[in-house]
Amino acid sequence: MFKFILNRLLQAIPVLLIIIAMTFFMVKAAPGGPFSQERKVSPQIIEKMNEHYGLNDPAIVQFYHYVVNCLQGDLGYSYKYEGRTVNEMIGESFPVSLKLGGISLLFALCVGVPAGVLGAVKKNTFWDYSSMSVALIGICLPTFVVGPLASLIFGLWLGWFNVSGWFVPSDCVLPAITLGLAYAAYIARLTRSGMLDILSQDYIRTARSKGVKESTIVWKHALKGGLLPVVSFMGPALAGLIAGSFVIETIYQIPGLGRHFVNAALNRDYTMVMGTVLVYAVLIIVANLLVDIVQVVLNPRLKYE
Amino acid sequence: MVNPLNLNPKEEQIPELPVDLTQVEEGSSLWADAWYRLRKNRFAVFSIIVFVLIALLSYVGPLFYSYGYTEQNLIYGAQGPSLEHFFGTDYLGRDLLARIMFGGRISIGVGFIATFISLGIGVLYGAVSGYAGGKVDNVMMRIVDILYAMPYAIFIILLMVLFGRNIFLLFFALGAVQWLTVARIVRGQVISIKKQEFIEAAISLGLPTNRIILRHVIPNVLGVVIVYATLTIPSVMLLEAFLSFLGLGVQPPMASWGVLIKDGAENMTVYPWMLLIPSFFFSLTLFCLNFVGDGLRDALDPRSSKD
Repeated sequence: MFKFILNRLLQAIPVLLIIIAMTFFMVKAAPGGPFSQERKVSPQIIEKMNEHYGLNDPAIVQFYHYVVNCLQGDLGYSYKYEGRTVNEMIGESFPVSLKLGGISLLFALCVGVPAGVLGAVKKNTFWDYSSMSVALIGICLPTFVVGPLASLIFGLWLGWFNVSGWFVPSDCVLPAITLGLAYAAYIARLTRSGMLDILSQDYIRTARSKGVKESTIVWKHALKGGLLPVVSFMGPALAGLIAGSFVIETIYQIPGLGRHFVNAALNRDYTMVMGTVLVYAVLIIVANLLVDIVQVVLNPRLKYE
Repeated sequence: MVNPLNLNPKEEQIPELPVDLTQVEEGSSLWADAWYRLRKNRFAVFSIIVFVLIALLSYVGPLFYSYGYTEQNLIYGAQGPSLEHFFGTDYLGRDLLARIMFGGRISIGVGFIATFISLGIGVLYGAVSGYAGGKVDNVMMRIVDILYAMPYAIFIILLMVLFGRNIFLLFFALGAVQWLTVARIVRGQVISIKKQEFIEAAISLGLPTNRIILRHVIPNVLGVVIVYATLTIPSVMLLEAFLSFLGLGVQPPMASWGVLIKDGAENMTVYPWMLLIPSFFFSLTLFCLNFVGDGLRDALDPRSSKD
């Protein structure tokens, strides 16, 4: 197990480097720079700024410096917010996004898994059809439709929640549900098909013939295997949650990393863009590793190389 | 895995097919069977009809409609649905139905074109990789694996922001992201196909490799590709709308459904119809395409269908 984890971590290094390099050179290749503004700034000042930030060096030298600084945990200064470091800004906004993402994922699991189990156990009944139809609706409705609608209906018309903002604890209800809805739906479908697969296996029949209670069979014997597809879905789900957070944080005015990323890209705040991409890349790589580990734990038959 | 699309029509005989005794020797082709099963799927047929209607509205509708999508009427301003403007107008007095029709053109167009681009790249890449096998296959698939690990939404956003919000770049970026899965699927299919006798026959007849790939291998993976394509179209449309919602996709005065939803979301407190109507059209289209995709999968590949 230890060797497997180590191996995977070693594999992650080139992937991470490629992501950093792609982002870095894409940003460099783009026309316009962080200091090109509507208001004309004298060329001398721009020259001075470029020199100060080391933007006059060849790109490859800049890249080298950037990677070395990254390794020391220094992501540099923001180009747009004077005197603020990228580390500071990520440190402030990342916990917000993490909380939002965590709650949505929890919501998705708490709704999706029981719904999927229900669908599988009561296959081809009213419960199955209704839960799966709701799931299909959840998949087809995009976050940027659900988000504004939810804040219109529950925020404005019914007045149950604040329309937007991130001040009181109840502020995270609407964003988290909006963000998690599609994943709840996917998880429900995956759980259902996974459970159906397992429930037709021989060992379940053995358990039944031994007179084990049906609820024990479902929740103890079948669920463990039935959840495997859900576990492997967690990797892509996280990437999706990140993309979703861009929209959700914009709709609900949440001061998270997603909004920072979009704003940084629009402002050409290159160091901030690089920093956020780096955080996202690490997050995705770590999540994929965790997913693989959990899969092996749940299903020892999986051979890991 | 066994090739889910059975290529041998003789094994594909389905007992419940209405067999006309005079024609029994002909058997029924894979496509005929699929068409038969698809027609029996009421949801899928209904979805196709609704989708065709929406597409007709978007592409043909403007020819018969008196308002243009850029036509402003600032004095009229934003008004709710009425007999004059069926879906109301936006804050610039532009007719919402006209804008939805135009937005539909862009959204549906983006979905189809980007999907075609991704299919073109993916099918060719996957076919070459699978057919070549060995080291070439290994390297080509490793590249796909690495690209797969990329947070692609982030890269598309960067691409759109940094290189200008050009609609052709948008097509390209969306297509470039989606080809990875196609390549993987096609590769798997090709590996199982290339071991079959008819490929051996083609090789022994001395056909050049590119001809074998283009004329014999690719046509046989088309079924799977078509199914995947119908499911890709809605996800591309979703991605386009997502970008437009962030203000990075289609630029004004052009509109896509994503842009309209974004406009609606910004004005929903005062003009809720601006959000509700485009959202309805967009979601309905996604629904239909997903149903059609599911139906096609069940039709072309009955064994993989969920019971």
